[in-house]
Amino acid sequence: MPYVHVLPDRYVPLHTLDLCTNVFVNVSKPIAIKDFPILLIAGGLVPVVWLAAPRFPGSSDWHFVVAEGRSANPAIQVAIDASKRETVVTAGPTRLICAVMMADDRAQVTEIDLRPVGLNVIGSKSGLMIGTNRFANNRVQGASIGIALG
Amino acid sequence: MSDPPDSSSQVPRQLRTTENQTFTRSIEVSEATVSPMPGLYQAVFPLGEADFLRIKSSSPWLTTAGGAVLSFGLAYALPFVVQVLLARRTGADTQIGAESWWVSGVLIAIGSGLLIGGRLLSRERQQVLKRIEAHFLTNPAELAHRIKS
Repeated sequence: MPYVHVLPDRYVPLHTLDLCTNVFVNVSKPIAIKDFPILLIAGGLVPVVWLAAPRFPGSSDWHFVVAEGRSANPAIQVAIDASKRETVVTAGPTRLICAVMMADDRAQVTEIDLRPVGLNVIGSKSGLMIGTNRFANNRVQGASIGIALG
Repeated sequence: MSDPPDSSSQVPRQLRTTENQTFTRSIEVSEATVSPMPGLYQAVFPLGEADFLRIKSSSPWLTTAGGAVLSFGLAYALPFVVQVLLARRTGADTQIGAESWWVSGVLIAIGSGLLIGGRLLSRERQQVLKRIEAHFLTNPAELAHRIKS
């Protein structure tokens, strides 16, 4: 690796993150590609989401299009519902991420579809699909990266 | 067949399922990238600090001219204002004709007008904006994406 990927300053990893029935405990980067974090979720009133996309199509240089729950790209919207403690990230009609706080240190991602940002990751309450790999009811504990892509 | 897996319909071929496992290291998956949606990308213009300062700049000629005229107008009006204030205190009548006020007013108005004009018109700003427009006309990021794929 040419340089070390540093996590955003204001990101504090959750203790437990349920990613479409796969539980990550003490994982600082739930999804990463070659060590660069693609998806980060921090706790709060609602889940605080960071989501990365390639800088241009085919690039291996990823940068955050959603940072600290705010969209940096006009094509992506972030909607929060404080009463349901839910954050929904959408790109047009597609829901990229739907995350809910279950407790102050636990969040659950109920829906995920990262194809608009260039990742073949789709998930629902029945499991997570990455390419042709399906993951359900697994547990990752004590690793810094939950799912390492690429 | 190279269709991407459809999340809503049948299970794709060669599906590998990993269930009910506990991992103490990362789950490693390769080849998970697809083409991002074209609308994600917008052409951006790299705006350096120098260009940014040019955009903020005002026209130096108009600002100088406006400043000079405004200062002169204020200086011209000052003696009359002093006379009026003194006269008010003593109750005497002043003999300042209307022309003096008109001249001062016109000078101040012209000076302020030039200053405002200087703020609004700036040759450097126009040049930078022209460059930005040319950039967007010739470098649409979406067009490049469509051609490549």
